[in-house]
Amino acid sequence: MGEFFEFKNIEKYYGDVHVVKNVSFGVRCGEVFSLLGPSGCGKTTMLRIAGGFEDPESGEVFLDSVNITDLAPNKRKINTVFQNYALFPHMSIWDNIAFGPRTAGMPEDQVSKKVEKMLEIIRLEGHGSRMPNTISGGQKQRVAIARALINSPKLLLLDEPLAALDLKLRQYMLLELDRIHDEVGTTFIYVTHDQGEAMSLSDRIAVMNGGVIEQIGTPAEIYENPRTKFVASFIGDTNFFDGKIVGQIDGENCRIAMDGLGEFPSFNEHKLSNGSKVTVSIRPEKFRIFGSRKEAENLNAIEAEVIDIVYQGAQTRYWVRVNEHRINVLSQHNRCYLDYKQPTWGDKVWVAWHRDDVTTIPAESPH
Amino acid sequence: MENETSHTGARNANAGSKLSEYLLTAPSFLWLCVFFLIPSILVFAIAFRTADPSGGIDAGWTLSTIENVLKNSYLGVLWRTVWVSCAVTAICLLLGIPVGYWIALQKPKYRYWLLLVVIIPLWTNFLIRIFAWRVLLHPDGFLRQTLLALGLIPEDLFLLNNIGAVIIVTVYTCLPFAILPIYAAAEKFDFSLLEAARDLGATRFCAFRRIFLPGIKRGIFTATLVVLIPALGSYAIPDLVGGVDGEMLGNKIAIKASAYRNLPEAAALAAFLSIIITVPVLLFLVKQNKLVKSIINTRRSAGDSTK
Amino acid sequence: MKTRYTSLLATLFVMAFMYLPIVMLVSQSFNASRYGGRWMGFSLKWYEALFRDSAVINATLNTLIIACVSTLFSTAIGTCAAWVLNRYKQSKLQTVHYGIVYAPLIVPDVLMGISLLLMFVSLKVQLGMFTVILAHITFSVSFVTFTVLARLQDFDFNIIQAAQDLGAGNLRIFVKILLPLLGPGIASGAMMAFTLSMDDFVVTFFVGGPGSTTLPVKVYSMMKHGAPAIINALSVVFMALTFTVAILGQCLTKKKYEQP
Repeated sequence: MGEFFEFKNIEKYYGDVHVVKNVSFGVRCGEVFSLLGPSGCGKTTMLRIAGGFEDPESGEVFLDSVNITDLAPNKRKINTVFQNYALFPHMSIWDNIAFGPRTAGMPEDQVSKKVEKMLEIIRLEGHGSRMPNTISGGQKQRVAIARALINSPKLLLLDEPLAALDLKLRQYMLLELDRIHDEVGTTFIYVTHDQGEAMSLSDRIAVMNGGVIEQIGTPAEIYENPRTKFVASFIGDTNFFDGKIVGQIDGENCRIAMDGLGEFPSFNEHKLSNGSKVTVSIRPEKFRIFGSRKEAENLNAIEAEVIDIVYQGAQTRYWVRVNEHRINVLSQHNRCYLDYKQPTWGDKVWVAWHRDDVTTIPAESPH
Repeated sequence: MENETSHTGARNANAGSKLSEYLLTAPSFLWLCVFFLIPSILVFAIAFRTADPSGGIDAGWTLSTIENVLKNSYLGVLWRTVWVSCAVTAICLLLGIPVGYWIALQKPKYRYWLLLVVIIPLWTNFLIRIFAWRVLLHPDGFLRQTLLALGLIPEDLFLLNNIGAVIIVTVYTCLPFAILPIYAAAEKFDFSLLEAARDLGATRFCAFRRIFLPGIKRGIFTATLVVLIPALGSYAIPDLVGGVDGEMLGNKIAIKASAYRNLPEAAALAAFLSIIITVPVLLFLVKQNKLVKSIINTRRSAGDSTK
Repeated sequence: MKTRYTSLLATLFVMAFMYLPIVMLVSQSFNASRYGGRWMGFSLKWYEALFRDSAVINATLNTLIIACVSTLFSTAIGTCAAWVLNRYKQSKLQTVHYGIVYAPLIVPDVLMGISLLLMFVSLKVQLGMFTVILAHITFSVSFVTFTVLARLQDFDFNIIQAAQDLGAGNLRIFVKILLPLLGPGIASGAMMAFTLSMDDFVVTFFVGGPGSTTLPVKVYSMMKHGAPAIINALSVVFMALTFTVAILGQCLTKKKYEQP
């Protein structure tokens, strides 16, 4: 009980390939829930199981506390927006959107009212008579959404809906999707491999890899506090260092010996004891670059040599070398870049970070 | 750069190429004019000529052949030719559509072999395929004896030399030609559309009927044409498995041309057959135009309703 | 994708329907019983009888001669037609040309047979091998044209310009570039013509005369007038012959699949 939509212990094989390994999670009513992962991680399979297009080998699917595992796709109050839109090419936009209500046997005057309403929501009023092959990708996308939403589904599944669009259109459609979600309030499950889409749209994200869920949380939780090395590296850039806990400072913090860097105080989130091996992840933007140790004040700092600089307008990306490590540092330009002396190739600089900005991932973590 | 060269290339080609176009068109064009177009028109002319007792064509003109053909009991044969051909077409579509659908659903590497399995019976000679059915349908043959042993048919039912045999064997020879265009269309069909329809509440059958069948419309039209026309003109099959009650227009033409040596009457019958065949061909052509028109029409009407 | 039982059942039924007669025929040809039906033991006697029958041997020779000659001519004519149809797509003449090449494909054999017969009789041409060959060329040309045309459509004409650019003359281009690249297409067109010619009964029946009996016509008369047991054996031999040609043709097409 509790969750609006729920997967329980789902297992799925394609031949010998184990694509989904005992996956369970729930989705809350009204939220946008993203399934994020690289291609082949099993996210689309989960969506197809939710839609009823694949049968799981074992496990159950619940919608609104009703077991729908064995229900055919046409019997589920769930609709899907397909990756390639799957608009019926021989029907007009109008007929495409009206397909669901007509199939359900709704009288034509009501169908007509609903279709008008949907066309309004997707801002394609007056385009009803066009054929699918005469409209743009973004318009097709919106028609596909309208065709699904007109059936007032309890749950809307979106399978990489923006993958076929170019960057500009993708950004625009992301805003549109957000607006449509606010307008209709339906629960969305959104499958994507693009972390940017997932971060900007979702209330919560499940990161999937190799058929298992690595982590579920809000975008900020996933980014700031990744539970596994995979999550840390898949979402955003990061720097990894191997290390070992060598001492405790107080209840909150400990000392970590990082290979090739030395010993530094760090936040001990998992309350690990001395001797535990950890992987330390520090995001590039958490580092700051100073000309001298003094400027770094009470931050952790280490001397490094600048080996590469990439100016990116809003920020500059530095590659610095410390012993065998190449560290990726991202520096925001809060002040005019040209007005200040900037580090240059071969400079000795101090790279500093705050002890709270360190994410420790226990080495014996499940993956 | 690239454009420029191809332009000058085209201009150079244009100058000297009219002649080479004519020269290369001539063999096939003239050949088919002499051996296809003229004979086809000749059929209509000879229907009005008088017969020569020795089996040739006389110089005189007459309307009596046409009258004869219309008066004679050809109407029964005509009607049978049409309904048998339509039945054969319907059965071929009924069997061909699920087969084309199923093959298109298989993995690409298996499709080639499945298609080959469909085509292989075509490699057997046409007459031998008919003969094989005569063996199979023979009163002492495998099929009748098995069905009798199983008690599925009465003692007095014979499978050979009737209209049923004609339909079965014609379906047999035409079926691969129905499957191929249907498969070709089904292979290009986007099967996720069926999932989309199911997702929107359609039952399996409803999705098949409302999405799949319209999606492979062209394949179905082609299949209809390539089955219906040969069926309308079939001669060997009714002749060899049809018996007296299985005769079709093609048989009458052949009998008049060979056994009776009444060529004008054969020509008159052939002229009738040509006219019958132009009906599906024209329908097919009109239908294609209609498709375009219906799209334009629905656009216009729907556009009016939204404005 | 979940399994589709209805269509699977239909497919299995169709496959059984397609192969049952052929399997029965082949097994009957080895049956010692004279009238078929009940199995009387394995025998090759019908094959022996077949190879002693001089009329059958004669018909086989006729069939092969007609097929070879008509293939030669129809391939040459059809290849030219395909070439111009592809090269001068925009020309009005080619639209008409396309129509006249396409039409024979949709006309039933009976009509083609009777119309050719009527013309030959009107012109008082002696019916025989000659008229049969003319008729076979006529119905083969369209098939060859469309087979070759299909290949030409994915032929990159820029390579001809490339060859010219490299200094090749017309003859050299033809021998070194066109022939090797279009060869498989032309060959499969020729195979098509050969099988069509070997397979044809209806047209041959109409325009044939004394001395032009082909294997299909022979089979027809045997079916009409007795000797059913020999036909079993003849069918199997004929089937083997057609299969050889068809498999050869298939190999040529297969190569094209594997190249890219």
